[in-house]
Amino acid sequence: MNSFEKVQHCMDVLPIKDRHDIPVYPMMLIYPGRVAGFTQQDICEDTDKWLEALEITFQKVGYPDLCQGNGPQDVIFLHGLEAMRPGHEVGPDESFQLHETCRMEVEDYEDIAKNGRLQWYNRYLCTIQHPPMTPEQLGQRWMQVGMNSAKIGQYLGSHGVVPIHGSASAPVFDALSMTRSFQEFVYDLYDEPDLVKAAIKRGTSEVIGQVLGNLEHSPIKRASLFAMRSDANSISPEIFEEFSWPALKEMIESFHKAGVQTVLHADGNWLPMLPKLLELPKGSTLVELDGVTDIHKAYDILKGWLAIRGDVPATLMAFSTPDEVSAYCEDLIQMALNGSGGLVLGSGCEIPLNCKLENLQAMMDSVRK
Amino acid sequence: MELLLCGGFLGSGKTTLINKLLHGITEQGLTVALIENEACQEGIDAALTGQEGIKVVPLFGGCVCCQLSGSLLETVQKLEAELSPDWVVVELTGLAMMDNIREVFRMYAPKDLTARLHTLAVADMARWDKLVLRMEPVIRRQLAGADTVVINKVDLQPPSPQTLAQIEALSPGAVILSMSAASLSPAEVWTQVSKAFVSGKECTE
Repeated sequence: MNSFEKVQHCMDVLPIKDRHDIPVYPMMLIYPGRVAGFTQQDICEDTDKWLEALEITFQKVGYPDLCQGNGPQDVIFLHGLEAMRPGHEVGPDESFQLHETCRMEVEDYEDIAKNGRLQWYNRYLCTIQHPPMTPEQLGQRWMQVGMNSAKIGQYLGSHGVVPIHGSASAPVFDALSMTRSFQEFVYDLYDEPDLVKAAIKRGTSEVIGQVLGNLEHSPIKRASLFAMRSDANSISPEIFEEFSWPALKEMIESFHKAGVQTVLHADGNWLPMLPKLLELPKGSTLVELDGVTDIHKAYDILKGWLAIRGDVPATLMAFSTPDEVSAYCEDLIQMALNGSGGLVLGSGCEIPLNCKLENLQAMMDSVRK
Repeated sequence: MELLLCGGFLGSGKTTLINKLLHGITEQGLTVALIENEACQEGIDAALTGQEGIKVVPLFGGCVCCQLSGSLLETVQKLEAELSPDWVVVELTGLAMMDNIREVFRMYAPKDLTARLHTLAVADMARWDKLVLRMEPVIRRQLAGADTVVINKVDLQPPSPQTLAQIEALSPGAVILSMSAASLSPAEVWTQVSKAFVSGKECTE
């Protein structure tokens, strides 16, 4: 199977015969700069430079099956939080930092519910840029994201590497948690539940339309949803079920009906939430785990129904030996071989800046023995 | 070099407590470095930066918290090699997972550094009932890995026996202190906290 076939086979949760059928995906946003000898400022300000760093890294360790579809220049923007940028607010070779502050008021929920989230979000995005942008400049920035994405897709395609998604967004619940700030948002869940629910409802229908619109002309019929605040370390399963899950389910089911598979980036501990995911259509979703969720238990819950990606920990990549990385990967590979497939061998979230190259090599080689 | 990880939710009085601890340490003639982790949360507290005798080091954990533990270990080891202060105090964000960080130190730090690791969580007594009702997962996560818990702001709201039992259940084996850090001198705060570290070690030994 080529990478495209492997990824589709995995997403469809079909059994696999050998390790070569398992797609490998080390998520490498900031690390390639370190491998190529470029500063973080270099790769965060210039997508061409990031692609050059990516190519140098791939030349050293081999091409993966999957790669992220956006570079750091756009990921910083797409996070929708005020950023501290390399070479500006942090040192030129430090990784970018997200700076979460309360940027919305309770009244904004009403505005979002009444007038839609996009108009509010675009206004908000203008204010958090360095320097703040006009709506026209923001429109140009969105166009740049699209152009960069096309460029990255072209580069990856020319090497047979599959972009993980054709479009990405955050579930409205998680996005509100960050723009309102975690503490204020959690208070709102108790003090103003109806306002929050109304904003989520209105915003969710917009996100669905926006993602499907973006994918209309994309060859990659997959959408990533970055659920960074829906895990059991942030909220209780009861809050998840009442506020986050209904909208998440609606999004994934809508995508599925439109022939789009979802990549659910599930940061934190999702174990208590995973049984709810069985309500989703079979093969509709790839669940990305970052090492906090017990991946073996997760696999047992989702086995044969939804695929998972994970979860070589960042600390293992930084501090252990290639043999230890190989052993960790082998354990995951055996889980998939003895189970029912449906595994993308991936990093637990992102490859860290202090990763040892030989450890990345060990991870890549583990499915290519 | 002794290492103290200090966690607690936003508004718990963690920054005030750390400020007192830093000065309490320097008043003993000891040197101290503060590592501030601002990724994913509220940002550097300007009140703590640039104060005499206190080295402040930012911690860059990347855009995601999964990278925090690795960056922290690396930063601590670098500080020990380059400055070797008597104490390193780490101010964690309200969303950091103390138990996970401890586990990374247990797995990857040199044994002698792990033996010098202390963990302290600040519980906000003034808002305890509200916080524990609304943010139980976050509170549980913060207290689970602490070997000392400071119940702060007890002048505003003394802890009830039920609250004390709740905190003991969330942080089994931890030494629990009650104080109002804002109204105590640095020496008073440092004396109480350092005694807790000693008694905590004695208990585990």
